[in-house]
Amino acid sequence: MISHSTPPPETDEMPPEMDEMPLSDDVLREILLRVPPLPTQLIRAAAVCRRWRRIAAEPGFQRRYRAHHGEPPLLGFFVNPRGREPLFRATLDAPDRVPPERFSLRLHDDTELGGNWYYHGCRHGRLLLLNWKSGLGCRQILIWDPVSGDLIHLSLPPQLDALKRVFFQATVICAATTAAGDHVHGDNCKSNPFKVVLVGTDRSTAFAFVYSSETGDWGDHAAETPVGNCISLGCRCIQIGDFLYWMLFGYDNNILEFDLVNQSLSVVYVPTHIHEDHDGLYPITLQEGTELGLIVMSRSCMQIWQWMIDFDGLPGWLPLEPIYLDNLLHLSAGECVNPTKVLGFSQDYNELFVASSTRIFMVNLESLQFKELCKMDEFLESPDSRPIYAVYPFASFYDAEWLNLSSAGLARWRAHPFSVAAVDAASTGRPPHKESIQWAKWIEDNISNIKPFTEEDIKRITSDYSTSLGNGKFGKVYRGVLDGNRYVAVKKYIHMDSEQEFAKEVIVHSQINNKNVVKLIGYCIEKNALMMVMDYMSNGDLDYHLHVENSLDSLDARLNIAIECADALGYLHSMCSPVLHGDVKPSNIVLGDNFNAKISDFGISRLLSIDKTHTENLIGSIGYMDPLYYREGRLTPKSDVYSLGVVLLELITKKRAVSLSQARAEGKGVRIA
Amino acid sequence: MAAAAAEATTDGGGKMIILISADGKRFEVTEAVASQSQLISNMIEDDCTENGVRLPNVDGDILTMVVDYCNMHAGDAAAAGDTMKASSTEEELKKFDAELVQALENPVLFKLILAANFLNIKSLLDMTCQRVADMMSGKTPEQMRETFSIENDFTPEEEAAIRQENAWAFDD
Repeated sequence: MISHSTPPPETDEMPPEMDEMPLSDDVLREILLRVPPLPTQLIRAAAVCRRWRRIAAEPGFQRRYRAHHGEPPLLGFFVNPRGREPLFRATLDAPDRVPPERFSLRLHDDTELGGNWYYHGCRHGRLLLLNWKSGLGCRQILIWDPVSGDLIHLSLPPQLDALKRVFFQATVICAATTAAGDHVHGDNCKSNPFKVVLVGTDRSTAFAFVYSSETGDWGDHAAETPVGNCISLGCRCIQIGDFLYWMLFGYDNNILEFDLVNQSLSVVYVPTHIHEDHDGLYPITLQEGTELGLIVMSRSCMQIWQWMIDFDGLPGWLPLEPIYLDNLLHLSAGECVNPTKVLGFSQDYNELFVASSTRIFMVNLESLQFKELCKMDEFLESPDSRPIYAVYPFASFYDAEWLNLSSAGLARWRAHPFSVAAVDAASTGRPPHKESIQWAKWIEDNISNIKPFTEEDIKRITSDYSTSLGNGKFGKVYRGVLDGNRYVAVKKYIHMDSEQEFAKEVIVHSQINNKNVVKLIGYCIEKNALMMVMDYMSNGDLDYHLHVENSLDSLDARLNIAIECADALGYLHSMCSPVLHGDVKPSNIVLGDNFNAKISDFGISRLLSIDKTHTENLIGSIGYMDPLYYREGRLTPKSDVYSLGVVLLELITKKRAVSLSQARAEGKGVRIA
Repeated sequence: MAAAAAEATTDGGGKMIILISADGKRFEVTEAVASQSQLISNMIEDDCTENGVRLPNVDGDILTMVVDYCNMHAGDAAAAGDTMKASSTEEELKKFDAELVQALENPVLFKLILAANFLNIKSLLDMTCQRVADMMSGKTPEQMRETFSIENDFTPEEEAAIRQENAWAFDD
């Protein structure tokens, strides 16, 4: 609501002779809000003068802007021709053609991961890439927001170890819904929780796994359904309300349906007569995204079938008017519609991407208006390489990041292939800001899934720091209650060297998403109040159980802890920009309700990057530190493995590997034979 | 209760309200017309309109436009109420709205926006702000400054940095 206490036209914000736009901020906000949601519009408006720029950069304004416009614009599409980096192509006209290099993701060739990155489409402003390597199966998922550059690494559900031969399809969806269950785009999809659905088939059974960013975990439940003789799944996924659909190919061609609410799979049968002699089958949405449809291509004829329930309550397929693409697109003689080339479908815009033998078109299924986008051979590496078979339409608001980062920070940010690595670059280079308030902003700019708290919030959560959970070299840990129903641990720093170090720890930690790493919920960065809010682990740390309480009698329980810690380190080290923990020891391993173990404390994590293998200050814990790191200050993934070895020794023997006094006397750590 | 002239009723039975502009011009409108302004609607509810409503921020010529607009749109606002005036068809309304803002010079348009904001007439504010936003469409920052006579208060360094961030967005 607009305030009515706004000053009358004669404000003193501008000199009288410039008084042509005598509008208060409130009114100017109303105007800028209505600027069309095309990529250049706000960027240009924000370059007009300081006042316009300030308003356009307000987070509150940006939220309202997205809410006002609702549906984000279709900016273009991505392809990944070689199983490597995705390429972007704009579909808008100049000047709103976002250049390909603006949305580029460079995947490190030097990671040990190897394999190919397969692109699994974009939805609600996020893209999903899946790493797959022959013989090893699916190994990692990346969720990428091309506009902000944010990248989230997900490890895969443990059940996949037994399914190494299965090629999975995956999709990412925004988990924010209205009370009515509809998806809301308006309030910034990107900061909303998301879900990843992974589906695969081993010829007789289809499986589905669901990851939720809210729990940070793949659910225990894997949906399964028999699918008969099905060989593979189509790469295109469509969403209708709470249901997702993929093509099932095999002796019969059917459609796989996943119910997000009940987390169950089922099959929508497609009778054989519909797809006899087909040259391509593609699921689409009809009736403004409310109904399931199926495109059956045969040569250049596109026959659409609508799935519906007839008067007798029986499901069936209804044919719609066929569309002859060669006529529609006015193809010249000799330029045919390659029948297998329906490349993609943007369900929010009802735009179908189709390819002739030489060109790519975008056809609106409602108006049948079309637009030529580009040539097919743009994506060919050489004349003999395989033409692309799929494009992934990308719709998003182009906002926020370009205004919030300082230009120097932005240049650094863009220069780095990954956001995690960019954090390192920013923190080792010239600090972008000095005051704590700016460090707070730096954190906010870099992470979207972590909540900022004020000191007052923390006081309330912890009932004025009433329940202490323990002390560490950094400060104290308190227990708190969040939202009245969730225990959290609040780590309050007193010996933090700098806010920069703190900010770095928060950003590193926020990038990590693994069930064996303590989840960061939020942080507080104010003068003399640096705090982190994390998941509360009811059973304290491993050091206490091994060396103080002398509990954990069951070898199985200890073995389980060892496995979980190894898992967590494996995950950290195999992230695209590997995270080194640097201080693995029992007191940094915390235990949950069932003595499930999680690694915590990323205070001295160093990010592995090519130009940074040395640390200036040696920090770590004597006794657990790798001798090489101890001597040369060179931290490698092996340093963490060494420390884990010491932890294993302690887990087995339940004795301390080294006592502090002994280590001091000898000036070195323990030697493990 | 005082039976002032402002409480005279029309044939349709609606109360009349007097609006007084900054330069002293008086406009007599029905309650249904006036209450499209949330500000006046609140005043009617609080029963403080009997001596006329003074609008020191709104000039007579602007208020003329506002009253015209409200008269045209009284149909949809009053809904089931006053049927004395045949309510305008949707098409007529659209045409009227387009003509109202299309012809305006910037200074007058801004005054109309300020009046709509002050009187809190949501649909008029929406329409006039949208008109200004549409005028920005497809323009470069220089063209926008020129259109709206806005001073560029960035330093050359700042401007260069801003342009560098998204250089592509400034090409035509």
